[in-house]
Amino acid sequence: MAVQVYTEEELFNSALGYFRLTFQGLDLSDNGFLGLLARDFARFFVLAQQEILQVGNDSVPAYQQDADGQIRSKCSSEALDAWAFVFGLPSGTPGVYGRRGPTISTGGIGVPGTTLAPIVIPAGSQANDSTGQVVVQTTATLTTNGPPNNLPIQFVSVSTGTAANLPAGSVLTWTSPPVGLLPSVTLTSGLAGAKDRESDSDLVARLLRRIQQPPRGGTAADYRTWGEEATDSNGAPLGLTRCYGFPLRSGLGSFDLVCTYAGSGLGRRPPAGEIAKAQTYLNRVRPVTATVNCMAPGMPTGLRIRVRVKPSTAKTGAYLYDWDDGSAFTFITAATANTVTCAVVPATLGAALVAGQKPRIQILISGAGAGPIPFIARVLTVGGTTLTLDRSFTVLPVAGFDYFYAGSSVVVPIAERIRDYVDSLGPSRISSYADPNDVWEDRALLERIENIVLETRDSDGTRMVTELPGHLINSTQIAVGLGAFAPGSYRPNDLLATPPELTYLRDGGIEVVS
Amino acid sequence: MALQFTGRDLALKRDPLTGKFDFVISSSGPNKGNPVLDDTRTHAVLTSLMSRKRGSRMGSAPQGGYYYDPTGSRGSLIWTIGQDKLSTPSQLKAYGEDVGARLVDAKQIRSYRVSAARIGSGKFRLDFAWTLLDGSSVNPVSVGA
Repeated sequence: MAVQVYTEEELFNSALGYFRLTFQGLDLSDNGFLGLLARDFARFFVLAQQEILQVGNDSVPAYQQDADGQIRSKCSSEALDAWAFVFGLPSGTPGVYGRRGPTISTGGIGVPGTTLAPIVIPAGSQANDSTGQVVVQTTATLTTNGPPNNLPIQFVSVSTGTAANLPAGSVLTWTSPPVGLLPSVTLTSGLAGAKDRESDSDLVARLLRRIQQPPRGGTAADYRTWGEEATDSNGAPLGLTRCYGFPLRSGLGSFDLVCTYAGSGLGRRPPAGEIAKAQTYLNRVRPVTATVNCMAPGMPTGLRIRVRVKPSTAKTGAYLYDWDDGSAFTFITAATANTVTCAVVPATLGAALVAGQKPRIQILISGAGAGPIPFIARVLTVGGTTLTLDRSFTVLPVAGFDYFYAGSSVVVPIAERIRDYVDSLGPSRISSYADPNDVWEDRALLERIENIVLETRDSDGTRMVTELPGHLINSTQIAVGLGAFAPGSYRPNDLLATPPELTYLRDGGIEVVS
Repeated sequence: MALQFTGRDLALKRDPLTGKFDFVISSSGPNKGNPVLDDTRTHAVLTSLMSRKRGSRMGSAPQGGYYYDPTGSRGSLIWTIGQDKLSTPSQLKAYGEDVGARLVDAKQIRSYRVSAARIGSGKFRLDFAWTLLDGSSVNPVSVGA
């Protein structure tokens, strides 16, 4: 329903015009009774019109572009909830239709330290993160073999929402540790997979897909829906956030479904056990004549992306690099929790330190669990060729392999945007079997990365980068695995015999250099 | 009966028992059942005195104001007076004169005269007298008490 909306001024003039015609000669200023009454009517109709407009907006699930240029749901949250119920969208809670609620994180592993002989840590033992806001618990009973204990214990979160996605290196403090158990344990494998309450934008997208591609008993859209709504034998959702359909990829009557988690990097690939559960679910709902193959994407080799930027000089140089590394990196020959050692300390870094700047460095850490975002730290002192940093590593740099560049406040924001872009890519479409009605990007495109870098803004809207030096030459480069950097986009492969490949970033895979 | 256009605004009268102003409803003639209109500008004076001009009591955030008055000049600051002090009568008078000046600027009245007095503990009265554009005088109004 399209609703004609009048501006406040139009309504005000209409009300005054009506009173002027009806009560000719009377005082219609804001001193006169009828003038005030006319204004009251105008205000009343403005408010009533807003209600009518909201009814119109709620009458169908749709998007709209707001004044700030953002695409948002046209419906109110309450109306979206009602629509989700009407169209029977699963909420993730068995038997309940509606918006998806926040979920827990899983996959956390830590090795508890002990001071006594075997200690039994019961299943359900709870611990808090350093903020005290996130509560996790053990999934099974563990009898330690220490001291020193070297048996790992698994954690899932009790808290819900993305705050419960604790990275590797997070320190957990036991709520009620048994005697002989050290009070804290460090995660060697992070907790992942928790999601916040489904946003209005995500819910309206799910609704529109449900309405525009209603269940038909076996179309490509049906398989995607089935995959994303798949549950285990207990009815608990598998949390396969995005499934990608490849009709006929494995032959006549086949449908290959590549399942992924939300998240980042290798964390997007569901483990084999979860894929098996999805396969069981799909086998239950698929047409009897079809063969469905649930699979995790192939992720053989991660990418590294290097971008060269010229930071903005705005805000008295707040975005500039702290020292000039001459676009060259420095190898790390050794590292401890908060120091790195190199063969030769760059002279400009030393000069910046002497000038009292506490210059920043960005360290590309390739160790497992480090993630693709550079580790930024300030150099406090230099002793010989060892730099003492103002913060400790969660994953140590690999000596003789990892390296550092100059640091700046633009590095992390740019790197996070690049990471989010790569994490939004889907599996390879190169086979031509991908569902043509469900279009996703599969390639890491240089032009997209450059646009992302240039559009990086501070929280107040200030652009952080003014240009990309060496554009079309070496401003943006991609390396596959440990290969050399080259100024070309990357397209993942699909050999058909194995699952389609999914592009992802290696640990320490993003470099934002001057 | 149809409304008789005998003036520019509603006539007001004060109920001697309650002290409140109300419309004058015609009880006879062609205007029977309708409000009586006049040109005394009593409504303009009273609505200006009693409406809350944008302002603040001591130590509070700004309040008041009229939605259709972006300049924030409509009404009076009488509502901000909350203490019985020696200066309160002169403060009341100043606020009344502010209203009078605005009505003169809006060509609602030609001139005005304001007085304010303390009539008891925590009680004040403000008298507002004015002349119309044609120079004639009308009955003054008193507010407060």
